[in-house]
Amino acid sequence: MEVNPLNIFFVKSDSKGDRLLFRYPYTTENKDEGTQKKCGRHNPYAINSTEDLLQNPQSQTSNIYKGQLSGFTDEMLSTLFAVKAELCNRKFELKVNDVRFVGHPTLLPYRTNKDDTAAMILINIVFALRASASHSIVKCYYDLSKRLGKALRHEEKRCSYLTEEMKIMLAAHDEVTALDSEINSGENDEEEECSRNSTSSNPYGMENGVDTEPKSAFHLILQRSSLARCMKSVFEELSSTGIVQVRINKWVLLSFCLPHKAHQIHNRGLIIEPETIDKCLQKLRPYHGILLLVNPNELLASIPLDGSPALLRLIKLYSPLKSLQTLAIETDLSLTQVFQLTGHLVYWAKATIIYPLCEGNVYVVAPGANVHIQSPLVEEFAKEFPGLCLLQMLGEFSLPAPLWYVSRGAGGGCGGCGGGARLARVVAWLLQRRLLLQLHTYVQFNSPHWRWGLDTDGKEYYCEKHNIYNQSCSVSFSSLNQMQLNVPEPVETRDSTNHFPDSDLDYPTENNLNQTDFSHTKPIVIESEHTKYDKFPEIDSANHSFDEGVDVVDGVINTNFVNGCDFDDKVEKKKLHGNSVDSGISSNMNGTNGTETNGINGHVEHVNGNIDKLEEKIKTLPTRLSDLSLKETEHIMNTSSEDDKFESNQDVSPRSKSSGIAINGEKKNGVSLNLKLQSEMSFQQPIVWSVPANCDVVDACRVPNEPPTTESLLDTFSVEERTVLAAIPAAKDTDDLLLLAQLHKKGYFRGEQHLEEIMFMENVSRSQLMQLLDKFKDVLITFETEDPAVAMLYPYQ
Amino acid sequence: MDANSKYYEGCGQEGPIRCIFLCEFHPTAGPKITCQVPENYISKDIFDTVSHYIIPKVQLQRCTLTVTLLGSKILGFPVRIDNKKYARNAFYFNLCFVCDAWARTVHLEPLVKKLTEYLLSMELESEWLSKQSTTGEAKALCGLMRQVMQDINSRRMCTLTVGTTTTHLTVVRVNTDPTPVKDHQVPVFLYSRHSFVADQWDLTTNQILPYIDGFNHVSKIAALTDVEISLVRACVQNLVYYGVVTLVPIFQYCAVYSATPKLRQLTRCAGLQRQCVEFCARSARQLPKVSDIFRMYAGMTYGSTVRDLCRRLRPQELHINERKLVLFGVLEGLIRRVYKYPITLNNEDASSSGSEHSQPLVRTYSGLVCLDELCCQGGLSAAQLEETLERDSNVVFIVK
Repeated sequence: MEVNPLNIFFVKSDSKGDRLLFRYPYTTENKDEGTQKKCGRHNPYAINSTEDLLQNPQSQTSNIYKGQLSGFTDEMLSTLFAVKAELCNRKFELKVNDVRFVGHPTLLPYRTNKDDTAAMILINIVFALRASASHSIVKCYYDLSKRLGKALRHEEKRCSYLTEEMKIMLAAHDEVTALDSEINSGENDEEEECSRNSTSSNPYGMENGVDTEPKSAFHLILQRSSLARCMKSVFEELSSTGIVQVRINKWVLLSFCLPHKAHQIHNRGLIIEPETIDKCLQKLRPYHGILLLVNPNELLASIPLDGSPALLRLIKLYSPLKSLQTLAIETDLSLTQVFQLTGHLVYWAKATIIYPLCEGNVYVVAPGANVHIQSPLVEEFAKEFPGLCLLQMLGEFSLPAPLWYVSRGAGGGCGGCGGGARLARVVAWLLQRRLLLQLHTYVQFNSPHWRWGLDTDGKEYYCEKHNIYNQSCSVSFSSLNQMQLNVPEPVETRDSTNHFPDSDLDYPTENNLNQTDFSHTKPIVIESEHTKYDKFPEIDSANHSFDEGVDVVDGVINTNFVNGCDFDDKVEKKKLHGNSVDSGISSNMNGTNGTETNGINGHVEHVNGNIDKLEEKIKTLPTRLSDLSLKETEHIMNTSSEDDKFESNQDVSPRSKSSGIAINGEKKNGVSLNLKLQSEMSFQQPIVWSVPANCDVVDACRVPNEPPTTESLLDTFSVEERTVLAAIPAAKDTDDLLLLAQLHKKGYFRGEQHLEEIMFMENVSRSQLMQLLDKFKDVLITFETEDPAVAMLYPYQ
Repeated sequence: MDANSKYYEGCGQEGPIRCIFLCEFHPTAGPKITCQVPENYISKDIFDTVSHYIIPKVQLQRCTLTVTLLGSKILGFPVRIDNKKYARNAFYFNLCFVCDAWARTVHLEPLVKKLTEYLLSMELESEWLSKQSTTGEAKALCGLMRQVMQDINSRRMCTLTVGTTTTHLTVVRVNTDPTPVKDHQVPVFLYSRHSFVADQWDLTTNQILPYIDGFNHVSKIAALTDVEISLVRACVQNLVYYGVVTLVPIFQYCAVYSATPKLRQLTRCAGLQRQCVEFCARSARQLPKVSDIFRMYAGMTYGSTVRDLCRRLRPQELHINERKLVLFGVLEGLIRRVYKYPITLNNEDASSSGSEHSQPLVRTYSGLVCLDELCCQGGLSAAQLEETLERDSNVVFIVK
């Protein structure tokens, strides 16, 4: 509701004074109704206490009437919006009662009629919003105003577009004024002014016998001026979809997205702020996938001709089954680029972040899912999937079960579900509407001495919120005291040492890094990432447009080029490792080398042999890899029957049996490649808590040339931990213990990474992990919850 | 301090009042600042650029105006007094508060308005303002403004006395209206009850206060206190608005909870751990282990009830009070309640097969009301209700 604009204004101010040239919508309030409203609230039996000095005269408290702006005359608004020159080219924000005006006054040179002396003119395109609109909404509108101003400045410079349009508008105003004065010549002045101000065409208008319907100047302008029509369409597109695509003067394409509105495409009332999207993108990992919210073909059609070819390729190869890394390989783009494109798609409400659909995923009904019997979604679902009932389908997801279990029609309710492909479509549909939420399993190592609150220095770590509580004891559970309720919390001055309580919704990793001194444990890589990251949110949201300006496109091309080089570099470096990697796997994998692995092996050797032809090989390698990854996803969707043996099969899961080796070979390469990239590009590494510096994940993930000894790995456990471990029978098995120690050392058992992430990063199969969890269940605590990065885009209470 | 990224525009935090000034429309000099505390916070140049919003045209008189320009936010409530005794037949003035651009200022608006009304009445009675401005020294006014700024910034309330008149100013947080309170919800204090000043609250609230213990739900409180339930709801809603209580779901052993991503915080934050251990302990002498508490929370997931969890982990032996554990988890957002919503499907063929039960009046469930609420309405236990619903083949459950 509050995301919609109330009105759009176009004001100019030059040597001839200021003028409201256009506004939309231009139906202004009826004066009579306005006064009625003021009196109407009063109880007819109440004594009208006009003598009360304090309450006289009654002040106006609202300027919104029936969803429309009211109580402002055009003259008044034009004086308000025609700011002084000092305030130009910066944000203009004015709040009057419950209406907020926001705009970007733009000063531009303006060609006066004959003499080419450039006078300056100020134009201001102002949006009226409800004052309750959040700050990030206001910021977006400000941005739009700024861009409109820039476009107009450009067009004025190019072909005096603004001059022409303003001439039309002024002429229309003059025409109507002249007409009015003719008609109203007999009537008194006040009436005349009234009709001039409230240039009628009023829906609730009373037919007060003025002979000709006085043509509204704005109505005329709308017919004659293309700029006015542009503004109208801006207003209407903002109110309907939140995505604006207008071509000013049939030349400058202005694309703008109001994410708060655009994300309501499937969920009414779902408000996603750009800040949330930025946060989500920072948490994006290569194993995440994207789910388009719109039909890919329609999306392709809607992208302008000069859109980025990388984006087109990404959409063409898109599938909800693919991870971003797979997409990056298939589209031959760097991972960073894919991340950036994902960011665009999410910002523009064309896609959302998911974990790629696969049979092992566990879904439950999302807590914010608004499903009731009369929900329009029920109808939509029935239309989309004949024979299925949405509510029944959601009933199936009442218990957390992997997807293959649901597809088996375990409940019997959706027996006609019609196989995996259809179920995948159903799940995608439900995910698009945020009706389902995926649960992941996280693992926490249960240290006998519960010292998780300690960081490496042995100091206790406090998150900000509880730190404050601890210090002041003002609000705590056990010592609820001292706080007099009638004395609200004092507002500290900014200079004092206290800080304002921070509402940290998600876990404040950044804060922590700032608070405690990690400098000696933190690899330098993280440092550099941070600086890169800091820049990220500052990026003007203009950057999110598909085709905003040449400069943005330039930026992409630039990074493409640089990344491209990096990529090649990486591949080359990886090659050198290639052989040892492969041998490592083959020894691990029961010696059953698949033909594909051999293929890679041979290929790698080949590359090693012919370094001069390296560039060609690099091109072929990714395609090879992509083939393999395609196979993998197919396998995952097809080999469901074998998954029955999941539990009984002791050593290797059927999945990894059928396709695992080949994939593992591929993954190994992929992982090391991507981690290498990771260290260079800007996405976050797994947060390593109080782990010594040698625990650099990049190093750790590369398969060591000589396997580490059990003893060295056991060093990661403390003495107490070792005694506990010794008591567990499974610890007798060195292989298991080794895996446990390895994963523990890399910080995977800190509740930060879910099983899928461990599988992805460490190249272990799910069954291996599950067995490990089962064997060491005394020290490993698992809990199921949503992936915070994905859950961020859900409507939460 | 300026480099502190915590204070960015739109951070939604309240900030201190930086400056208070009174400006008026001088008959010859135009808009000018009569008096400013502290001196020269708003320079002449800045004032001139924004004066047009501070002493506005007639239509904007008596409107709360907030203008954000040049890094600061100026709140005002312009007033005009028409009287022949003034030069130009009118006296325009505006008392403005200045805050930082990042600060939230909605809560100060009523304050500005009330203070202006106070000045207005004094002006009407004794020309308090115009006298001071014509003599050029505005000591009394400056003193008043300094007092307002200091007291509001430090204590958020202020009592002003000028001559025989007194006015009280206090900052009231502006919150959105809380959602209506439902009968099955449980109010729980966010502050200690001992910090309550009883005479601040109305009689009904005082009556129900002793029964707000984090476990009694609204209809139970109504029954215990013998207060009409709608009054209890209204009181609780009022308390929710002022942030004294919050509402949590009712504790039941058949309830299902799910861990949230915030649960990890329990593994790191020593402050949270300490609070949690103290709060969840059965007795203060024997504190439970954080690892056990964590294990309890970690065990909460879809499909496993608190009862199952208690059978499995035996919280009594771990010195954990499971009710308090759940309460703490919900309050801190470590876990969230998973509700069960029955929905009646209206497919005809299914209803014919189910008609053998021949219930005279089958209730339909729309999916908007959760099981807790239904139990509370019908006075049934959850087990009873679930049993009857299970028998109805038209009813499906959605768990979320």
